[in-house]
Amino acid sequence: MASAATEAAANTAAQEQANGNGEQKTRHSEVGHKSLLKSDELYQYILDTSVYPREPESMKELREVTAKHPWNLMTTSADEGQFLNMLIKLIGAKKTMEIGVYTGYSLLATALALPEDGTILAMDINRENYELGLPSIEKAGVAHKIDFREGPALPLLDDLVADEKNHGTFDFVFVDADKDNYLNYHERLLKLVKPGGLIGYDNTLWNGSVVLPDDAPMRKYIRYYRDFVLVLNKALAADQRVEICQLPVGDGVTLCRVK
Amino acid sequence: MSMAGATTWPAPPAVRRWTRMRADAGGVRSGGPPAARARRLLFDGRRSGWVAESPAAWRGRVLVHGAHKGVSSARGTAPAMAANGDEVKSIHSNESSKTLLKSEELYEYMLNTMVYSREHERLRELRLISEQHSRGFMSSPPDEAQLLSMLLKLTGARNTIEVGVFTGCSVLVTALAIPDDGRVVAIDVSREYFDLGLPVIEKAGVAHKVDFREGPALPILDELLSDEGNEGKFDFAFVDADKENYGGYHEQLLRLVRVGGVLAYDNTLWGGSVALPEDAPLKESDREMRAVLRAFNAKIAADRRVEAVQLPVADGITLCRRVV
Repeated sequence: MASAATEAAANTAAQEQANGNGEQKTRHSEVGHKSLLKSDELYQYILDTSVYPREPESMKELREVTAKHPWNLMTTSADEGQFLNMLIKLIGAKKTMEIGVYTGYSLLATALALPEDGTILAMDINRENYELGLPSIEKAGVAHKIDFREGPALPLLDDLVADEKNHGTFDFVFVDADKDNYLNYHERLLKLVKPGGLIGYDNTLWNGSVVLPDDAPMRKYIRYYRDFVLVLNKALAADQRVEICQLPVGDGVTLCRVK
Repeated sequence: MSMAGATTWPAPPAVRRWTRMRADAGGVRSGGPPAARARRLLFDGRRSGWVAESPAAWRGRVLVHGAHKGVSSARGTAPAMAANGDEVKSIHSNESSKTLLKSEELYEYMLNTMVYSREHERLRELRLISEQHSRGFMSSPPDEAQLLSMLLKLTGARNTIEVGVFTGCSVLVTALAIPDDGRVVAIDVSREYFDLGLPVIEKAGVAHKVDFREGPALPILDELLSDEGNEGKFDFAFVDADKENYGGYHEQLLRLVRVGGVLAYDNTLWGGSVALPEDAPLKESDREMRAVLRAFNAKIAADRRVEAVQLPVADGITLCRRVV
């Protein structure tokens, strides 16, 4: 999530969760369920059977570094990282973009999947977090594929759109950032992504809160962004410029294939 | 019997029983005695082993897997009971939960918000026909259909294989997704259910892409393999059939599907039972199926010829990408 508001929210969430021992339990999905699935055990089964045994060493290292960070609720989960890695390979993506990096778990998953001459234009308002993960990315030998830009994404996207040479040049974009800007990103990405290309929007089931009644108890940042997520889902469903598929991987990822 | 941590399983007794029974029955569609008995056995190619076609008429039925109610009592054992004294239900039936998600509401939200409004008219028609069927729970649910369509288009798949067809929901979604000169070889032991779906597939204008083969899949896949031109010819395979044979299908499909192509296996989380503790109440048939699937999942995880992800869509779909 790449905005000052979401970082502040993450910070507040971190404070909310700190217990008397000073330990931080700040995962986005920490309250009750670890995932969108019917039991923690089922999620753990998937992780233990299919994800962790195949997780590259560099990703494991990055994940462990991130787990110590107070805002780790923002990170991509291991099952989602694995899925992104597979998607990139399945579509043969070469030129990609990532909006919202945090410490770089999904960025690394993407970089490992891309060919040697693949590229990722990566944006985040906070370079400091990215620098936590960068050593793992360098160790994996894929840092040269990443062009990291610090700052808000919209101005950079507008710059790209302003030059027609950039239109329809991206194969894949992963958006894991400030939910109140997803639809703004969407309009620009539809110009920048090639026909048949893929956009993935993260957190579109928002910890399952999309089906909670308005007066249900909710963490502050969940409540704050929930309306944006509900509007986003409806808008994507109605957008005939893309084909869609929402998957209960991680916190819900919606794939949009540009027609 | 503790199964935790083992990576290979002996065939459950049920499978051996089928083999004897199958030998006795001489296969489903062969003529001559005991043909009369054989015809009353329907090999449920999608989910179970041998299933009695008309339970009332078939005495001495041996339903081994599958979601036929009362299976335990038919075999003379007491039905599995939950702690509160209720009889344990089958994991798959027309009344069972359709989702692995934490609530039915969340699943309904996904369907209502993101799926139904995008569902092709003919897919919806076939879905509604299938839902009326007594075995309607075997159909590919609409969110799974949407994922299949997305994957087929993303990968530009042209030639595909489907093992296990039922009424043809996934065949239809495949035929709609692949190009006009694409082909789906669709295999099922019985065309009885496929014949329910064929008119809808024809109405959709894509029946010319469908090459339906009736019979058990192992010999048909062997037949495909006997033609050298078929090695690595296929882009995508979807398997939604008898779980005990998933391992066998995997070996054959790894030759038929090209390097970089997709092999997708359905029902690999079996209602989430793969994660339940050993003493959790389960119908015997589900217990056996769980063992089969745990073994298959472990096999795939260790198979370096593929990269795989296990998606909690529908009843669990394992997506494999062939790498060597």
